[in-house]
Amino acid sequence: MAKGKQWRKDHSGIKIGLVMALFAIAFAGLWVRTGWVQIHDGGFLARQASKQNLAAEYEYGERGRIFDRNGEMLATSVEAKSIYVRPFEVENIDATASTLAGILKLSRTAVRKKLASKKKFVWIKRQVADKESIAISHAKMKGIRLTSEFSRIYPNGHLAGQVLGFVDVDGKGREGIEFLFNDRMKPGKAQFVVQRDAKGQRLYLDAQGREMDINGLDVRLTIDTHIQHAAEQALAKSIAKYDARAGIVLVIDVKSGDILAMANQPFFNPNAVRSSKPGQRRLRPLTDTYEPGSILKPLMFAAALEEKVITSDTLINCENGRWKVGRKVIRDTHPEKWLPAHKVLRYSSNIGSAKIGMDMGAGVYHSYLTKLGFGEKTHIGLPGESRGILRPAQKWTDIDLAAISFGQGIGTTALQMAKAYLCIANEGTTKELNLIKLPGPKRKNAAVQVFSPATAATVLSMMKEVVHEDGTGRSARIPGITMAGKTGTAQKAVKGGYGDQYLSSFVALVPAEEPELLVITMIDEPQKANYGSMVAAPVCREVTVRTLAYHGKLSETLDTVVAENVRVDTLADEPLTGAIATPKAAIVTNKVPNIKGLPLRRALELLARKGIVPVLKGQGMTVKGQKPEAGQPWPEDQIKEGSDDVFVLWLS
Amino acid sequence: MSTTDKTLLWMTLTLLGGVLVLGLGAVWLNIERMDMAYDLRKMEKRLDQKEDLAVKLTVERNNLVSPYQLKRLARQHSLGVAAPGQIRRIASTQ
Repeated sequence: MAKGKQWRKDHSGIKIGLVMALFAIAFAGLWVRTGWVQIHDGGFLARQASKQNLAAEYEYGERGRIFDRNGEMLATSVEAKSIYVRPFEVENIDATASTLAGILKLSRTAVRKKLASKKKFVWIKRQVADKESIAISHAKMKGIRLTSEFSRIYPNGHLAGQVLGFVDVDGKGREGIEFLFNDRMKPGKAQFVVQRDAKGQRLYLDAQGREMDINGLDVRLTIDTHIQHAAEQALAKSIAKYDARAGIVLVIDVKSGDILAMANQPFFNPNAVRSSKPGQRRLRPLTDTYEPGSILKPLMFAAALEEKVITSDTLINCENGRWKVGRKVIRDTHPEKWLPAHKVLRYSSNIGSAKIGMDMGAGVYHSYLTKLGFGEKTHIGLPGESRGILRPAQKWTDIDLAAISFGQGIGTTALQMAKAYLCIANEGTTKELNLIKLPGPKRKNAAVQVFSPATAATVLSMMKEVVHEDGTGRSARIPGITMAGKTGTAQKAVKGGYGDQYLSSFVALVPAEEPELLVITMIDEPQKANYGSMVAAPVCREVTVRTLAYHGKLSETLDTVVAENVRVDTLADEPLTGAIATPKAAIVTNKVPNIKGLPLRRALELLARKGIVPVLKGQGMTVKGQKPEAGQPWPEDQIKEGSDDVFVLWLS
Repeated sequence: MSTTDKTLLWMTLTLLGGVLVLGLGAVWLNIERMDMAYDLRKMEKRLDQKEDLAVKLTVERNNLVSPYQLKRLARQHSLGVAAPGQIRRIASTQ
């Protein structure tokens, strides 16, 4: 029994040894495997793991914005959702197509075709409205996905639409400022690593890659939205009234050369590019070339005055309104025999202008037109600018010279015309036009003195007669403001000669002496009337009035004679036309002065100095009673915000 | 057990305890980091939404103060541009 026990005991030892050996082998195996995984496969497995755990994420910046000169937003980018499908993931094509077509207002057949596509990725609709994207995400359709894109928004609709241009669906600028500054405004792309959890949700890993600025840079224009709006409104009204084909208004600040408004009709709304026609998208002031007609005459007069071919009083024989040059007959709308040069311009005599031009000679006249910038681009920077048409002087016949003297036989853009008039307004020195404030223009300042200041002043004085005497521009007259202006009614060329369509135009410089504002209007093919004085001058007048009102420079007086000797901005101190004699303004003392008998304006000025806005009772412009009475203390202690009986004035 | 052995034992136990505590700490930190990553992601999304909304509201504001809207409002309230002769300038109070 003991022997048997001894044998079993020995057997147990072997068993234990075996188990230990097995464990040792298992452990050794595990260690070997661990070493293999860690050392041999380590790198590969780490890469595989990071593929599961980490993912690259891209962030796209926002396209640069466009602002007007006062910081009003003209164009910006807004995040919008775009919808795409992975067709192989779609479970029920018919039901999905019906839902998508219903929400996105698309044709069901077209959507179904996209869902049945063999491609891996198909766009359903890009840049949808927020309402639509929310409805799509709530519908939870398999295979239908949303992604973020930036869509371009122009908050002012068609305001300066052609100037701004537009971007395509991929956010690339295609026209106007959007095209010109595409590289500056286009957004960048940032790539950074994010962590993924088991469900594939993306988590923040670190800040690497997020600190860079990926937004595009902004652009600021010289355009003023309020003046642009005034120009567009006035233009649209005239186009509708005269059933015209198109129109242009340019408003320019003479001092800086900044373009404050560049209006085109027909309008173009960059928010709805697809529904627009190419003709609407054209920026006519620089793409369209017109024979300017009589608005070229003041420039020809300036050249003739500078060359001493004429003086303001040189008598010109205007041939009673009919004159033959070669085989062509030139006619005047206002037939006259002898006219001094300034009246030739005032009545816009074609014959008188032709004679002055012919006296000056083709070579000299051509050189002045070239110096003024005709036949050359203004280099404002926008695409599609035309050079206009200015043939070499050697090719001009007598008839050409005569015609070009009154603005026919030459092709100019509205912008070229503006640049030429800017020279007259700037005392005879050329000045560049600006449309872009930021980034600053890179052009060199190549100012050329084309006319002497005296010549420029004489031309302005002649142009003033056009508006303020019995000239052709009377309809543009603004009470209390002096204006130098010139009308134009150019016949439009057709194949083989001139047809029965016209370009009506008007140029205004305000005030007439040392102009601050230049306004050019061109109305193309008006139907119910064609004279510049009837069609274009009222547009210029309205735009000028609204611009001056906006700048607070409209006159208080209706008397132009007063305005002639006083700058527009100093007219505030002039007495009102027909106003009663102004008593001396009372001095502000500790007691309430006697305001009775004062004109309302002076009384208001006096009270304004004490910070009091009185309540006015009755009608009239003279104060007949006051509360508190004269000699009482100022009601300072009683002033409470919103109280309306602190100071009462009775008027008569 | 000699004093040296006891010291060695205590040091080993302390070391093992430290490793355990550090290990648990590392796990706790990792959990916290994950929580924070989820929170950051949520906040990022909210920030994006708010920035997007701010841009849309700016566009809306610009639309509301656009000259076309202002003119429409002015017409509703019978306001218009003052004509020459209708203007009175009050001298500066300074």
